[in-house]
Amino acid sequence: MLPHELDQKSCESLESEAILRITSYHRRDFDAKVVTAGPGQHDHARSSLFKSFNESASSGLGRLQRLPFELLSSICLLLDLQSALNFSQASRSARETIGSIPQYHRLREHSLECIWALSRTGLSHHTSISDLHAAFLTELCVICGSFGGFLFLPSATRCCFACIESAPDFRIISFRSLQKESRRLATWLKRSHPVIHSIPGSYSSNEKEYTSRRKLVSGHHALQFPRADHDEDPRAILGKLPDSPVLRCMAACRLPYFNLATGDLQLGISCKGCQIAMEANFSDANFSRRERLYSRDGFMRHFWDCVEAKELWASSEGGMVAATEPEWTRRGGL
Amino acid sequence: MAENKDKATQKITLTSNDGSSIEVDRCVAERSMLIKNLIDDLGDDSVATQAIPIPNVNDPVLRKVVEWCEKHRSDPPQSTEEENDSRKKTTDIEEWDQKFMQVDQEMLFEIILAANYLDIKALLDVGCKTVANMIKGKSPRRSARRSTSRTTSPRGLLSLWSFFRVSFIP
Repeated sequence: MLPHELDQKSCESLESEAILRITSYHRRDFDAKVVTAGPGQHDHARSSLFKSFNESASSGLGRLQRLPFELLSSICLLLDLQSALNFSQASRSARETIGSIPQYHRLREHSLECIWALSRTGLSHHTSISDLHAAFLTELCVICGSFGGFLFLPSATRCCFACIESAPDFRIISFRSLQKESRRLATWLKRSHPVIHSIPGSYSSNEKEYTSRRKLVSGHHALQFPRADHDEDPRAILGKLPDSPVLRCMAACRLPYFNLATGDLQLGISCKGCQIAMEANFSDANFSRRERLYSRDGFMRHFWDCVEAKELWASSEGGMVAATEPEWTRRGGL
Repeated sequence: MAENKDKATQKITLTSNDGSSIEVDRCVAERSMLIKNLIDDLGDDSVATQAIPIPNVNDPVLRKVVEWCEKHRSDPPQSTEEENDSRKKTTDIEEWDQKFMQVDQEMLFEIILAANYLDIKALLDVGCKTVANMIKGKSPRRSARRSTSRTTSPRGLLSLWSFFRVSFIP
């Protein structure tokens, strides 16, 4: 940019870019704790999923063809993920139809990891495309209202990491222990509850690998099942079962927030200043402050209130020299 | 108040594209936003004496649509927000509507097109949900991603074939 092109606005945006670079970081440990696909694992799927082939279709959709495109697209948005995948594999015209719906296009481009996680965990029959797309366009966690960079798979809702680990609505229990406590047949339980098949991987920052696939049930679903009069209260059953953060993480996945107005895609950033504050004083308040994620705008608002972040920014001399930051933030929390 | 009631039960004649006419109450006809706007534009007097032509819809389909409007004549109008919410949530359909939609596919698509043309949001929703549920029942692969072997199930293929090729080609 030439000097005469610099006006006040672009100066401000340059400054906030520099502030973001110096005082914010990405929490890699959160990524490691939830369901994640390896880098590049889905490149192949990205280039083909919900996308029409180069050759045009030789046959139409039969009677469906008579409906105008806007009706076809609203029908396609009523489908669940599995049916949408099936429908797109049914014929070339079906694929073309699905491929030309913007919602499908966006989901393929930016939330392939969630589509993969939903399919692998076996929840794709229970997740509607419009729910998934709505969560994709939501910025804030449905429970606590702070920026949420994650998707809770069983209900396809946007959530933040703190809520995944602790909110009662996002409780996950093992299928086997539910079966034991409720004394129901496995086939009956499977029919009335969506069962989550966990994906092998490491779900904690320690080295432990969970290699076998486990059957899990969302606590929210377990509370809803129809019961006879002599049955025990499902709440009492849930109360007896242990609450494990690892199981909860097996049912969550990263989901970037997409701003429809600006076309901006964000995974959420954390504040280095809050880590410095926590290292100076280990308190619960400082800990929960450190665990927060922010959107870029949200971070800039936070920055002006965060003393430690401002000190860090001052020590970098306006972004000219590297500031000394804690080891934790340098490694992204790992 | 009395005037309003008279207006609601005022008879209106609709003429389908094959020339036959159906007489309906005004409040029934006004489930269609197209007809409602038309009446508002033309004024009360002219619709009392003249039939309203519906050129895109034939007689059996128009009768079916009127049947639906008769049943839902006293439904409260949906607000946009509510409608978006319920639309997003579920593809569940009321029992009466489900029975109503148990017609052959030719008729179902005609009803959807008519609802679209006449601008009857709720009926259009029911129609779209019915078609979506038809697509949902069909699977080209038996739980494709969950099993590691990607074999095609012959039964799944057959049901899909019959749905998209045989039954859909006019």
